[in-house]
Amino acid sequence: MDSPAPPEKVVVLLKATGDAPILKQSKFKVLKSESFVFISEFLRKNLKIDSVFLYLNSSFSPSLDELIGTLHEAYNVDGKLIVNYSTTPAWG
Amino acid sequence: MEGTKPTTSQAADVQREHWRGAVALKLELHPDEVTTVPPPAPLFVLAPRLGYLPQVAQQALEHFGSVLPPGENEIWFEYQGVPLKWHIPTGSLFDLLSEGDGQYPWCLTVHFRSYPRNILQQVTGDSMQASYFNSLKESAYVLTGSSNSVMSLTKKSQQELWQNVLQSQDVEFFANMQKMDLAKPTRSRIPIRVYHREKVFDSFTGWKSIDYLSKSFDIDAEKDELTARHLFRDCLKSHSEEELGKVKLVVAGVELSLDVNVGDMYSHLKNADNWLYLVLKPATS
Repeated sequence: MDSPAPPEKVVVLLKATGDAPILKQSKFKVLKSESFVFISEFLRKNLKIDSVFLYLNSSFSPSLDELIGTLHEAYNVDGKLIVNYSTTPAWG
Repeated sequence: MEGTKPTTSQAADVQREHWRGAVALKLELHPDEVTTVPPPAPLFVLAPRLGYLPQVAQQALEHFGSVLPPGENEIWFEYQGVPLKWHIPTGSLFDLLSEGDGQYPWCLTVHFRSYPRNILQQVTGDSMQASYFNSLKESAYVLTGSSNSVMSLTKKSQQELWQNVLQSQDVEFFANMQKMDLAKPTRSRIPIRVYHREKVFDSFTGWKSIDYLSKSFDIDAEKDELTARHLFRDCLKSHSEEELGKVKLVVAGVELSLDVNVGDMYSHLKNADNWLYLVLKPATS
């Protein structure tokens, strides 16, 4: 079986919610093997904020050790993993 | 469970037992946090399987509070040097980490200081409740394609449901699920979390050596007979038939055959957050 290797990266779309600062670029390709914590660290560094709250599809927060590849497979919308970020809790 | 479907009353019995299940804990305060001689006696306490470890915080604080050094109390638990992730239901933590049939009650070290923030989610105020509802939202998304049913619950409904979970009231819980319209899957996908410990405890090196997978599985489409074996073949790619012979599957404290139907397991043994938690560990452990 020599089926082509699946792409190693998936598209992640970062959307600001509430008062969160907006990123210059919102679409990224992220390695499937990265954990979700990668996104939160990326945002904290780029937005220079201490804490960030993350949600998928404007609803739930996955655990930070979840793999991007797994999340993308389960929750992508039109091929994109939509991550909403906020500086205060949203969608309690 | 194999072959024959359980009757309704058997199913109700299983559900009740599943909800009543508890893990007996023996808690000892970490020596660094003991300020008295002799040190305080251990605390024996029952922790509900479907609940979360910090549920015993109040009891632990009453027992150990008077000997603690000054400072703020932030409870966390440790087993064999490994900080326990409290957002995993207590029963599944025990199934995953405890060593075979050896030690019971489960001996844990309890801490109130030096919270390992880099490893564990913080427990503040109602974070147990928040963690539960977040998990419920995620499972609702898998079951119905949207989390709206959970997000539109009123504060009062949330409180009611959460109290049912804390007090292991299965009858009230399922009645509330029905009433709050949370019990209707609209697609044939089910949410499953798999925790896989590859090593026996001697060589266990903490969370890094545990595979974790949270996935939604299609139980319909010609897979009427989807068994745990199929599921692990699918999701644990490195697992040959031979390797699958070396693991045991533990669900809700019970060792089950890899040939049990996944849909059946889901109907009877899912947790209060609508996830089915499967634990795989070495057959020898």
